[in-house]
Amino acid sequence: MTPSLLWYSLALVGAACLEAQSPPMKLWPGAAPGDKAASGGTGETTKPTDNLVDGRPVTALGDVTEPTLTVYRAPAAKDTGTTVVVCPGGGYYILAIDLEGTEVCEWFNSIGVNAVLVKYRVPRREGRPPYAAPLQDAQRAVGIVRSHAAQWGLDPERIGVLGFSAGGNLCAVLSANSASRTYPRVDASDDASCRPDFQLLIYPAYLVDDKGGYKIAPEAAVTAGTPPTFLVMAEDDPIRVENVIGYAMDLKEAKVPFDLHVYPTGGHGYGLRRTKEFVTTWPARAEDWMRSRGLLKKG
Amino acid sequence: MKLWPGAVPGEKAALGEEADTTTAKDDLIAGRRLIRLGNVSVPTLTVYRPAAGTDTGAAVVVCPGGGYHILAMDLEGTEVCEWLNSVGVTGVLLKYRVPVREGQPAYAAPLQDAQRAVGIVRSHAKEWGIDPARVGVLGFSAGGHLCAVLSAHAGERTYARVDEADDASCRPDFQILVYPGGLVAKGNGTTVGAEAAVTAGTPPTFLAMALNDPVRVENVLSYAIALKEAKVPFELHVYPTGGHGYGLRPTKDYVTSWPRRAADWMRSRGILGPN
Repeated sequence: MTPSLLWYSLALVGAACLEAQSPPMKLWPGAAPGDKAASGGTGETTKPTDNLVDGRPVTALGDVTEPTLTVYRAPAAKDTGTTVVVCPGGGYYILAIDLEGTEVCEWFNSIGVNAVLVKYRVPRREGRPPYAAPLQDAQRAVGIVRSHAAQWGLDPERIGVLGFSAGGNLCAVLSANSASRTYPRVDASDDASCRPDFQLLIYPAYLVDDKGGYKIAPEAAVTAGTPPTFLVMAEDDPIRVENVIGYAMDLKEAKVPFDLHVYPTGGHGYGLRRTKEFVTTWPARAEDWMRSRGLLKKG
Repeated sequence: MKLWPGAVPGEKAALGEEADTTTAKDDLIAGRRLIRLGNVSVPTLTVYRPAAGTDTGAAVVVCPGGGYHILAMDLEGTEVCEWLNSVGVTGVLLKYRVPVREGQPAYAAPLQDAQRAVGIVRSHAKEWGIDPARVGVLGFSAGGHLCAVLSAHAGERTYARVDEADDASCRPDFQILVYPGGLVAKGNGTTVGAEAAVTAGTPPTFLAMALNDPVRVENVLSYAIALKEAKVPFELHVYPTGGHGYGLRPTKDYVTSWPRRAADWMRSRGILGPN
């Protein structure tokens, strides 16, 4: 193959990949609820000196005032109809938009699952709990996905959520607050249920007090209505492995089915980049779990 | 190999004859029957060596379960030793005393047997070609409880010294607890019992259990919390379904993939040789 042909082929492959991804869609037709003035738009805050994961940089998106969702379609031949709304982490300050976002959507597509990347509002809004604006965005996002299920060819009963770190917190908070919207109705999307049908919490944060104990915070409280849950974390995670063990204890108490995997080492913030740490095999565990729940069957 | 050359400590009354108590009416696991050995009064250990070219030098003392009433000798014993051999590990099958001896805690006689067994393995390490610093334990159900009790009582023997095997440490270098029972109180207990208390000296631990296990998944969740507090490294896998007593026979429940996770864990800890 000549160099020019090679580049042409690569460009074609690139175009094919891009086709699977629709352009970002604004969550709110007007201003996002609770936000007063736009504070300057979306900017990338990563510096070249920032930490690398698996030798590659992580993009940190800061100052998100215009939350969006981006749909990543599974290839038609593999499409199971199952959809996962993906919430990147970043402490409710930034969004690790590639490591804990786009890369996860691509992995889901590879196993026949549609993914919807939510760019929710960060940083924390003054005078509001850190999760308050993101919760509105997440409720709105799941409602939009479910209300568009027929149009987009998705199964409205197999819409889950996945979140890392603060994004995992956001998923659990959404599951605990899915009975009613925390904003005034905008349109028909807000009439659809925003309860996830399942959730995957990867090294979730802020579920327990960071000083000690394993009691779950009231905004993320587990009930019999909490969806089936997949949990993974490393014991040496500085965010405290009690986040998943305490949550698992409450799920057991509420008779909610779950899968829990704790690995001795791995720290925090590895996304799904494979490192030497066994915790980074979690996507294989998640795939087994989804298969066992019938989520990878063609709908 | 008999554990005790002379009298077995604490034994008084004669039991009936040692026998498989499984009847035709008992449940099958993965479509096959299993041995439920009762009336064990002469505890033994049996060494299963891996093929010479695959031997990693690590050894695991295997404690079958059976509620301290019987021993599931094949399902949770011989089959496990064969799997250990397949990953290059020596399996040492411990046939400990059952049923519960009257007037003693359920684990008391089995603990003596387990302490003695680990001491024998470690003191014979050179002769048997085993690395004395990589001698672990693996137990199912009551056998998992026994491993945890042994780890909590590794500082001192609970019987009078018999020979030099009792001078070697009986602390496991690592432990694998598969659907362990009795670590928390029945009912709604979430505190690990004193006899199995976790300390900074508890060895690195691998835990696996199904959420719908009637023996209560809190056994592993609470033990994990105690390990975290004591800063002991652990790995924990909880799967939604699978019940209790599956050993390592593959069933439709993917909790039975635990041996692959356990092998990864041993590999990650350097137990299967240098990484």
